[in-house]
Amino acid sequence: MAATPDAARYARLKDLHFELEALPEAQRTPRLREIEATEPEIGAVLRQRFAGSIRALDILDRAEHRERDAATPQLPHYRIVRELGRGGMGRVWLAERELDGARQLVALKQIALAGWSDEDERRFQRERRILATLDHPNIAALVDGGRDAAGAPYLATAYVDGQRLDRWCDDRVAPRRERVRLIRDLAAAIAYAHRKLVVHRDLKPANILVSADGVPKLLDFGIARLLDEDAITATGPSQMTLRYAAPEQVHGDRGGGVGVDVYSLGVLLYELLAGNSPYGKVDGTAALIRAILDAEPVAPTRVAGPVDADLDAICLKALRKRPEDRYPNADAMLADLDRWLAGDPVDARRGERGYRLRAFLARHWLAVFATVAVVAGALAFVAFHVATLDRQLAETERERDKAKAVASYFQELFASANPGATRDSDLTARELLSRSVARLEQGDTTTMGDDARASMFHAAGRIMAHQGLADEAARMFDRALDLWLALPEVPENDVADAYNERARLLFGRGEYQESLRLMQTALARREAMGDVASWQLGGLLQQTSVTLRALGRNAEATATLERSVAILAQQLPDSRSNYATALGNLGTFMVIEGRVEEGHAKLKEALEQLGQLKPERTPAVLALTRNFAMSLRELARFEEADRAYSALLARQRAFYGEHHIENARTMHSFAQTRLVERRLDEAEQLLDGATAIEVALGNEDDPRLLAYQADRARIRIAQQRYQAAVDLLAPVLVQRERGVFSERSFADAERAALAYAQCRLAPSPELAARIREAVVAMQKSPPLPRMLVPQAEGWARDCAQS
Amino acid sequence: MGANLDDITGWLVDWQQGDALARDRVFARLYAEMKRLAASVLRSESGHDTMQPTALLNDALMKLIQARAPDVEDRGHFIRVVARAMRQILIDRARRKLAEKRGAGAVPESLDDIDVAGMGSPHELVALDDALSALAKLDARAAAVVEMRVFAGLTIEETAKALDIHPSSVNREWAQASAWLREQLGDGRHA
Repeated sequence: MAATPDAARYARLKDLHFELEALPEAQRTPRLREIEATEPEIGAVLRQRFAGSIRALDILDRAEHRERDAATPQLPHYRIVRELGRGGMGRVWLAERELDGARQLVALKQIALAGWSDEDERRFQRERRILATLDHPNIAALVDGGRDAAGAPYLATAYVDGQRLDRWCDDRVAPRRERVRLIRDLAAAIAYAHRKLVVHRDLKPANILVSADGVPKLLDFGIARLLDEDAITATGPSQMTLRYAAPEQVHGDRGGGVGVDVYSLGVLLYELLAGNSPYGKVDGTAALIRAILDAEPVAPTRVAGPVDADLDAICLKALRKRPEDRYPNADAMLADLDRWLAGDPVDARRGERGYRLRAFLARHWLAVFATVAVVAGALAFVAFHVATLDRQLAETERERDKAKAVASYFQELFASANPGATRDSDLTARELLSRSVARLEQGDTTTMGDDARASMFHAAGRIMAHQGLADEAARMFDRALDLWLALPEVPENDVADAYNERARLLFGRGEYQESLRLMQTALARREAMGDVASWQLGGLLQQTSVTLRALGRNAEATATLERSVAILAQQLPDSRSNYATALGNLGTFMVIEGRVEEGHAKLKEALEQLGQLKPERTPAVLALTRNFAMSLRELARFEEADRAYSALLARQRAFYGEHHIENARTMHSFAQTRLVERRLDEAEQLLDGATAIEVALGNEDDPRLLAYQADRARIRIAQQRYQAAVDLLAPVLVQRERGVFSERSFADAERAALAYAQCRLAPSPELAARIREAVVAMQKSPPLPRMLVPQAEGWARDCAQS
Repeated sequence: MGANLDDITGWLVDWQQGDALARDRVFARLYAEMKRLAASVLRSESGHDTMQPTALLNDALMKLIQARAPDVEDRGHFIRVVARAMRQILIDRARRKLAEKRGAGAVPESLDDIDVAGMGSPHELVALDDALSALAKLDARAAAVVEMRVFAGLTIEETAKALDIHPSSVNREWAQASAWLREQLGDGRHA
């Protein structure tokens, strides 16, 4: 080759090239030899050219592929009738397939070679696999697939003799109802595909043909994606039609969940109702992208009346910019379209904007709203729930970005779970969680900032905590804290929340001291912020008080709780659920401390506050009602107490079922009331019931059983079966000595009872002294029921006299 | 910012009606539009090998040509300008990428983060650009054919229409010129 290509050489080369090319193949070789003889350098170049051994050059090859794509495919058993259409991906022909004498019209699809790559190949094979799994009256069925002579794969689907969706409607001037019905049928097909884990991602009129009798069929799953596949299979906007694309597709979000199809259905519905695009008249790609991302469409039936607010709501709900604000899946949209067709009120109009997010979060965060019982014979506090629902939601909505990240994360998580569940019923919430956490930890949520990631760890931690996965939850909270504390601007509210929940896990494990330490860290951070009255501070103080109580620092606990209640009262009505909980706890503390009237009033108000919350916080209401019934007993209003307990038990059984720990707690509290009333048989039956539940739940080692046993012993004393009472009480007290957690007052009462029973068997001054000693302790720190104190005082006199 | 394609079509009418300024305006705006178009497409596609900016350009061009074609000479010129613009954009990117690789420092330009697959490696692009410039000096028509096919994504038939020559001529020119270009890139001077 020439080192410096000059004009003469080039001209000569070109002339000879043209000459050779024009020659028939047979004459080319002799002519080449002639050239080589006289012009060896140019001859060698030309020989290479015509031998086809030229350098491959991607850029030039692709230009040539475009040409080859214009040719029709040659396939055995197929006769090409005509071209049906072409798009970015390739071309589609109408072909007649003849096999074993059977003839069928098919749509034959091949991918353009110009864009051909390994990934295209995979995608094409995937479409074939996807289609093979889909069998639905509104989806064009797969007929055949394979490779042509050149090795290029092809797909054949049943040919649908119909018109494009939009033209079909235009030609018939189809009434509105008919248009909605078409979209409804398509939504059914899409919902079906979603259940098969397939997202279509390219819904548009060109992909939807309607037969003469009005049956719409979905074609072309060319860029469909399997929900459980990795993002490698996803493709960008260059392969879809922008006008029907969802904002997240335009953003280049490679995944794109079921929300993408919901959005496209919304655009289709909009166009059929309004007669124009939701974006109005927009020209140019950039303008269209802007409109997709930002423009809020006018209600479609306002564009082309008569106005139908329900239909507008359905359409606009599908067209929300954020996937989590749309219908969660095609099934939900289908259900609403069916409601409209049936004349029922539609879901889309329920509540204000953001309803879905609220409802979604409420479903999961309500679960976090749990009650924690202080392990002690007779009482259970309605403990803090840290995820203060109402304010939490308000906060969440304020912090839009994070809310979006968290919600779409869960949205995706659960959207992908639902179809999965039908295929694989073993897919548990737990597996889902660990799957999602793995994703979080891999950090494939690259669009997310550290703050948002921390929020997700936090949210995942809450759900795990609720699922009883304490260790995993603790790890999640720690990850969230690490991320948040490293931010240039530390989000103190979130940090305090995370500390709080981390502390709560420790509390659950009985590590009260460490739990308290974390609480105090959070409190100190709040004080440093100058926080004296926020709802978060109120919540923190509430939890701190419960922890203090568990550590036996009762006076501090009550004072802390009073401060919490005062703060939360200022934040009403937003703090209502938190306030009610704190107030209920305070009322309970007061009853225990002997401020029975005051405590009863607080419990009553707490119940009233809780009653105003929608949806009802049933577990909290039930737990508070138990303490309320107990306060009635302490006030010696036995008839009311009995009625309250009976009603409560019935409600609990309906809510929790038969064997639930909460039922056992209520039965125990009720049993103590019966005991005070000296209705011994009923008391014993209730204790039997409570014990049976604990045994059924495998709680034989729980300290609660000691309290049951002590109460059984009290029944024996009342029955004057003193030896039986001693046999029951002695092991209880051995356990108490070992320091199994309890309120000290219970051990005092149990000691008094044991000494009394022993005294009745064999009186002695020593035993009388032991009772008196216990009585003094009980007077200082009275147990519940408080009637145990005068009873023990009576025992002390009895024993001394005998 | 930028004119949309409808504006440009409107200017084409002015141009046809003899407004000399309109012609400059079309070129200037079209270049800007192409750049913007390429940028937005490149940006929205975060780096996979499905990008085909030429296919996109092709759509836009065909619309323009069919809508209001200026006279034959102008039409060819017009498409060349577009192809030239696209070439310029892609080559600039490729050169910057190469410069970065040699450690000349990063240029903060969003387009640079993205590989335009199907348009070859930066090396290949730059080498092709050089060779194509050389070809233009030797054979302007052949270079125009290559430019239109490679950078504006035109088929043989479309190129023929744009240049107002017979498709078989385009085919011959292309076959010869692309062979020559492959040879130039293959001899090691550009690799």
